[in-house]
This record gives sequence, structure tokens and C-alpha cells, in this order.
Amino acid sequence: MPASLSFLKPLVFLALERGVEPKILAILLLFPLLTLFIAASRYLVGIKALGIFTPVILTIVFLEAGILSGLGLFFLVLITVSLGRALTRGFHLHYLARVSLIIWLVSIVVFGGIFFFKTPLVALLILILVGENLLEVEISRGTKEALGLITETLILAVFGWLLLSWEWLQKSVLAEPEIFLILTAAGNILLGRFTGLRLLEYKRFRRLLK
Amino acid sequence: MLDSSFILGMNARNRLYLIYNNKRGRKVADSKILTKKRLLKAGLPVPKVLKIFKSPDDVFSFDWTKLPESFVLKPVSGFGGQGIIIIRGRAKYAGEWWTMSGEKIDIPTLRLHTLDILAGQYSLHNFPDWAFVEERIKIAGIFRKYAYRGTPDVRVIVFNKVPVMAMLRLPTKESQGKANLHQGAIGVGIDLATGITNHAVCRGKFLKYIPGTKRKVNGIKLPYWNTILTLAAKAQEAVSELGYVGVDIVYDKAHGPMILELNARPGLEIQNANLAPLKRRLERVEGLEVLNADHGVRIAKALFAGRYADRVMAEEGVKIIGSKEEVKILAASKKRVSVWAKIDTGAWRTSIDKNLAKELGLLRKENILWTKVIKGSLGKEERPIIGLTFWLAGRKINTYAGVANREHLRRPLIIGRRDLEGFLIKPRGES
Repeated sequence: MPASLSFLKPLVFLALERGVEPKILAILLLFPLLTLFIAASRYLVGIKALGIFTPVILTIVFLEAGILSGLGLFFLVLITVSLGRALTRGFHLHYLARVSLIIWLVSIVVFGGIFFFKTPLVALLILILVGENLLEVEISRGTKEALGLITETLILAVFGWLLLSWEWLQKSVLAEPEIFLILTAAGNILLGRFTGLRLLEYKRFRRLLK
Repeated sequence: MLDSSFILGMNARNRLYLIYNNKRGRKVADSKILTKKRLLKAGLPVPKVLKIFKSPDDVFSFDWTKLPESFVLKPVSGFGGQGIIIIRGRAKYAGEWWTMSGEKIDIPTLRLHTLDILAGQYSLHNFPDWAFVEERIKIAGIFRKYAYRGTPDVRVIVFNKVPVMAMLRLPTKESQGKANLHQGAIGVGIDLATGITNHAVCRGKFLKYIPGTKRKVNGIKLPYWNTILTLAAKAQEAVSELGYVGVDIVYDKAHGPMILELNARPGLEIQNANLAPLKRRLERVEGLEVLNADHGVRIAKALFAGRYADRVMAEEGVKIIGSKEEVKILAASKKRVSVWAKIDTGAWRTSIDKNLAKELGLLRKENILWTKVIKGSLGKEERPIIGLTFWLAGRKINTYAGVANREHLRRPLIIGRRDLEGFLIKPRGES
């Protein structure tokens, strides 16, 4: 890449000099790639998941807490939310009051979880908020559809975690941050204009294709 | 194998066709009351509204005993058939009714349900809503035997005033009487030209018989087919802010076909129900200058008539025809006129002589489907494409034909490959 286009590299060096952890910096720079990956899963594959926010934030939790603790905590939150929903069904509460009450329950459970899972505090706080996300889909979409969407979200988050914790990729993005940014921007534009069938639609319309 | 680009996927629908639906149009489709208003203004039949509830005061001040023996209570902005109560008839005491699912319901319960609707329990994003009471559709006899309770309806997708694909939606036990494919209703494809059903799909599975019966899904002829297509096209004409729309039409015993609602994001499963791809049809219709709804229906019938070549072949065997054949053309006066035609496998589209078409009354403005600009040795020339029905070797063929000056040629009509499926051609002489 010509030197004139290396507008980010000096900044990367500066940040490293100031003591920013290389891993953190790499993850920051790989963020656009993560969101592109999630968008591509929807438009190329047909995985709906829960928008961009929830899979991204879950990926962060997995990176922070480690994949096993992260998954364990996630299921803990998911079960608590579903349980809380069932428990509060007969209360006839206003929506936000009900959500708040269920998050009250999630907070307590997650607090108990500290003793089983070794995780930084940030990951725990984020997970409590993810609980609100899960709750919202469960209430608005019904249990069956919600479980499908949550499973898809989980799959995306696990792949996201694999992607962002890939050391070769982390090194490459620190070495050539500009190329990554330009490629991801171009990727989004191409993806946004794509009008072909999604991978899962080939399966859905297989009888037509015969 | 079919080209996958003929199929309409989610990406193509959202990016290429939903852009024809603007915000105002979506607002009309999302409110059943607004939809009714617009359709009534255009003189189209819709189920009558008996009462609209806009506030809790309306609910309490309303004299519920005045309601007829059967009616439907609905949210104005409901979706997926949620929050609807169908009342079948009066129970023994005044102020009590039987619902469609066989439960007894009284006025306090109806009031409570209406208040729930107003509070937004059944609306998108739980926004506050209105509720309304509508006369109940009484299913016409032919459908009663196919549907599990509920009301079957016909979904027609209309684009640019042309109906492009249609299906019959049959409620099942699983869909709880709702005609929504997502909830497990059966989608039955319909041939646009004849109104005869062809294939069926339910939850991604293809059906041969309607579950629980020995009735085949194909071969059911729907009544009032022409009216249905015209109503669908007129509905889109009336709400022109929706360029690409799903129109849901029900059959009422007394009033015939009526428009129930409009859908601004019609689903894609209709392609599986018809086993036909939608995108190619939309491309055929996009940009055509369609004069009005009737014109749109004529275009649809000529373009999208099912080719029953396979079935006809199975029943009658392949028919052998010669390179010239005497065919009968249906004139505007409904008379059948005999002419000699050349069978031309080198041409795709059938083509007819200008003078002959004029003589038969086929060049009337309303029979011209569209005009095509053709670049020839004499520069640009505009050729009309007309709807044409003829009988070849005893088979009725519903198609479209180009109009050309064939004055100096032997045959006033050539029949192209598009209309020759199921025939075998003997290169010399007549059949």
C-alpha cells in the first residue's frame, strides 16, 4: 500500500506506544468485519438472528469472559429470563415494570453466578442487559420463534468469537488497518445491493429449482 | 433446471419491489379501516363496518345488544389474524353469543377484549389501537368442505395493475382457523387464466390431498375467477401508493367476492404453492403501460396462463400437426373464424396479420396488451401485442400475439414455439 494511504498506521503505533493492549486495539479494528459478517449471514445465508447489536455484544462477552464461562452464563441468563416470564405471567403488570422485575431476578442469579464462573464485571453487566433483549423477543415473538432466533444469535456470536480471537487476523489488522477498513466498507455496499437468493432460500425453493 | 434468478427471494423482494410501496401506502394497508375507506371510495365491495371503537368511552357507551346474530370483532392494526373474535350466532339469552370455536361469550367479555385491543395488545409494537365490529363473511358452499372452520381466502399479488400470481389459502386445525401460511394454513396455487388450482403446500411440505379428506388439491375450479382478478387489480389501482401488493379476497355467500385486506409485504411462499417463480413474472410486467385494471387482467391471462402440456399429453397423447394447420380464432364477436396458419418453430411468439386482426376486432384498444418497438431495416416500428385465443388441432390456446403486416405472405398467422408445447410437428404438409 502506498505511504500516502497509510493514514491509520501512525495512529496504531501511537496507541501502542501509549500502552493500549495490542489485542484490544485489534478487536476494535476488527469490529467492522464482525458487523459485516453478521450482515452477510442474513443476506447471503438467510440467518435472521436478533439484529446486529445482540450478536455483537455477545461476542464481546465471549471474548471477555472466555467461551466456556460466557456460554454458561448466557444459558443461565436465558433460563432465568424464561422462568421469570412464566412466573410473572399471572401478575398483570405494566410492560416495563414486568421487564424490570425480571431483570431484578436476572441480576440476583448472575450475582450468584460469580461464584461459579470467573469473569470480569463488565461481561456480567452486559449479560444482564442481553437478558432484556432475550426477554423482548420472547414476549413479542412467542417462545417457539424466539428460541429459533436466539439459537441463530448464539451461533453467530460463537463464530464472531472465533473470528475475533483468531491471532493471524489480529496481527494482520494491526499491520494493515487501512486495507481492512476499505474492504469492509466495500463489502457492505456490495452486500447491500445484492438481490440474489439467500443460501437457505435455495433449500426453501428446491422444488422450483428442480 | 430452472434458473435461480427467476425466483423472487427476500433480497430481491425488499430491494427491487417493495420500493414501489411508499410510506403512505403502507399506512393504508396497516389500517383495516383506512383500507376499507379507500376501497369503498373506488366502489369496491368490502365487508361492512358496524361500529368503530376509538376510546374506552366508546366501549362503555355502546349498546352491545344491538349487534346482529353474527359478527366479527377485530383490531384495526392487527396482524397475522391475531386478536380477532368471530361470533357465529346468538346463545339462549340476550347479550350472549357463540364464538366460532364453540365457546359462549357475553358482553362483559367482549368489552374486556375490546379494551385489550385499544390498549395495543394485538397491534404492531403494542401501539394503542382502535377496534371495530364487522359483518361476518359467510363462506360460500364450495369452500366449506375444504377448510377447517375459519374463512378461506384468495391471495392475489398485483404489480403495476397486473395480477401476477394467486393462491387459495385454506385454514387448518393447526392454523386455528386462520388463513395465514405462517400459522400453518395451506397455500393452493391457482392458474391465473382459468382459476383452476394446481399445487399445494403446507409448512414447506407439498400436498397431493387436502389433509383429512380424499380431495385432490389440483383441479378445483374457483367460482367468479374473473371478478376476483379484476377486484384485485382494481384494489391496487385504488391504492396506487402500493405498487406491489397482496390483495386478500373472500367469498361471501350472499355478496360474492369481497376484498378483506391489503398486504404491503406479501410473502414468498406463493411461489411454492404454484410451483412457479415470481420474479420472472414481475420482470415481464414492470414498466408496461397498463391502462386500467381490466387491461391488467387481460395481460395477466395472456402472459401467465398455465401450460398444461404435461397433463394434456398424458391424457390425449402428443398431437401431431403439420407445418400448416387450419386453426379457429376467437373473434371479438365471440365467433370462431377459421384461418390457415403456418407452424413456425423458428419463431418464439405467435404473430398475426394486421388486417386480419382488425377484421376480427382484435385491434380494439382494450385488447392491446402492450406495444413493442422493433428495429427493422426500415427504422423503428411500433408493433402492438394483443391477447389471442385460438384452437389448434382441437386444443384451446390462450396466448398473446404480435401484430405485423403479413399482407404479402401466404399465411395470415404464424404460430410460434411458445404455443406449441405438447405438439409434434411433421415437417411436410398437413396433419
